[in-house]
Amino acid sequence: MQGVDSVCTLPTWLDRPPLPGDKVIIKIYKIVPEKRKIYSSLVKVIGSDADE
Amino acid sequence: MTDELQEKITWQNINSSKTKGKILTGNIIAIETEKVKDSNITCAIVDFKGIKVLIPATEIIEDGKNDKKLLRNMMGAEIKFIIIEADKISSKAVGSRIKAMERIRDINLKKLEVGDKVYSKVVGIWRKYIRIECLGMDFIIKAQDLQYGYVEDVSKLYKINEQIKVIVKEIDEEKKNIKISIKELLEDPFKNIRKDFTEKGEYLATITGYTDNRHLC
Repeated sequence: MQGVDSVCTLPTWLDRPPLPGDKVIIKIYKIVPEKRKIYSSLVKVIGSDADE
Repeated sequence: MTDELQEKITWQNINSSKTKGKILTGNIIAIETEKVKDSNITCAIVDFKGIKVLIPATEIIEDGKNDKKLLRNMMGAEIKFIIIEADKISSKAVGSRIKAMERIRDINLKKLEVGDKVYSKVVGIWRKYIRIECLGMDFIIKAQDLQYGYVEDVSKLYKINEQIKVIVKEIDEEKKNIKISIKELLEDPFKNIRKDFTEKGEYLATITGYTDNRHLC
């Protein structure tokens, strides 16, 4: 997501939170262009075992 | 060219700068403290073709303080200066960047128009902002004004002496100042946000930072 920030909630099943620079897959659940906000939730941390 | 001839030309340039205000260019290579009478003066050391040019911190920027913090973040930067004192015997000179910047600014302001796109140069990098030199003026640009999206560490985006294109937004000839923007030259990713992303879609992202209980991607 180049140049676009998304506020991403972390799931409860996650043992170790991802660190800055980590690649992740996120699921967008709400886009609010007028507030310049994209809300999402974490689906998968790439390279880790923490699958959904 | 022999070393002797090269040195002669270098000193001609230094003298010309001192007497006629010729603008010279060199890179900041060190920080030293010079004792003048009872006070210690922090200086940037600029190498001008083998001649050591001392530029006091207070002569680097207009609100410059006599400390090393500013100069540390400007290490390696190519700066313009005018010689104010020179001593051939000790092979040292004292310069002022402020004087050179004033001269460049006076020349450029006359021919500048709102909407002009010009190049600026990065002369200082901090974690959350950079200092750029543009047409004889210095600007502090914060991370949020450099690009769309969260920037954790500006030093990972830019390097000293890197050129950045800016657009002139306002010109105040009385105050001899201008307003510029970097971000306005970039495409706003939110302009076509619904075209690029859809709700319930899954996307590859990179963690860029944290808030209290959420992550920024």
